[in-house]
Amino acid sequence: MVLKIFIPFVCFVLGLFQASIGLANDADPIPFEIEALDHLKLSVDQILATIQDPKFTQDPDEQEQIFYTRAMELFDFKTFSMLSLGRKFKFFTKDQKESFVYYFSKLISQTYFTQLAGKDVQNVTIQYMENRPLKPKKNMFRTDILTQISQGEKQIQVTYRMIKKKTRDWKIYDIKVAGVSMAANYREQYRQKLSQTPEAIIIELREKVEK
Amino acid sequence: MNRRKIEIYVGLFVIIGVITMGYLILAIGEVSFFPKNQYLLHGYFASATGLKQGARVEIAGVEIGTVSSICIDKERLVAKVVFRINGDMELSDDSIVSVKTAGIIGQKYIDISPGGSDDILEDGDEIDNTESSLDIESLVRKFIFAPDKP
Repeated sequence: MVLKIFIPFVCFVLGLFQASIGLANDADPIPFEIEALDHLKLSVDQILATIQDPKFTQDPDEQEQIFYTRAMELFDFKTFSMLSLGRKFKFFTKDQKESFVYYFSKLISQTYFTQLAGKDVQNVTIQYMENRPLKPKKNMFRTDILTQISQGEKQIQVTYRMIKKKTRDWKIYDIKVAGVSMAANYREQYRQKLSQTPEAIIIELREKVEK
Repeated sequence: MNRRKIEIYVGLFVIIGVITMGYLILAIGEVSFFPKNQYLLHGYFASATGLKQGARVEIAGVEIGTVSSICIDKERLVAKVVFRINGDMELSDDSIVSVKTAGIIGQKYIDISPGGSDDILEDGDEIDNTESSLDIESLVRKFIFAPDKP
């Protein structure tokens, strides 16, 4: 009789215990901004390791290809392009948007990543200062990661603006250097060219990339 | 009788003068008895130096609203700026807001660069893309104390 009552009671208590553990695990997922920070740290470390690798290819074409692949992994070029084009993005057709994103990603990779090859990055240190999550919207999470990059006595503040859409990885959609946004800078340039058609913008971008 | 006429004229003159004066005060102070259809947006800035309440909010140099209030966000310790935007002006959620200066030593104002997103900002929404005012002093300091200066 005692066993008949005792066994179900123990099962019930164990069940409650397991359920509470389960609830505790569900209630404490890793905050999304920490996930973004970890992803950024890993990506930056990988790029620095690639440049410092003594076996890193000396062929400029191969270097460009490697950096382009890395840039594609690290950046959300669709959002970056949209932010850079501003209002003009609305007047692009689907194909024109794809072409713009392709050449824009090539331009960013060539301008900023390829320049890193052969540079001394031994004493470059990155301090991750602050992580400012933004209000999530439409299955989209965003956070601003404030860093201070130092090389010797030189210091500069760089903010990485990161985004995560649905099941995709965290990616950078804008970079602010000393408070100046890269996307805002491109948008200002495109805003000045009032009469430029989407085709003309893409042709100009393609010529810059192929130079 | 004549005296009474003069008094009436003087009285009318004073009344017209007071009404004109009152109209001028309201017009210069941009006070409206019929509140415009407007909505509020806000943004956070690392620095809102020189920006004043009532400053212009512009798109392409055309006024579309004013700065409603400026205060410190006690949690983040950054400036929170609230804008009052004209109701007929639709702004997408990827608009970029910058604190700019009219001329070299002119007044600060807010410039909005409209975005291309289909999501439109509504009353009480936050604009995420903000650029603070340029701090000339810190730029000069960086230039003067640059370690690799010859």
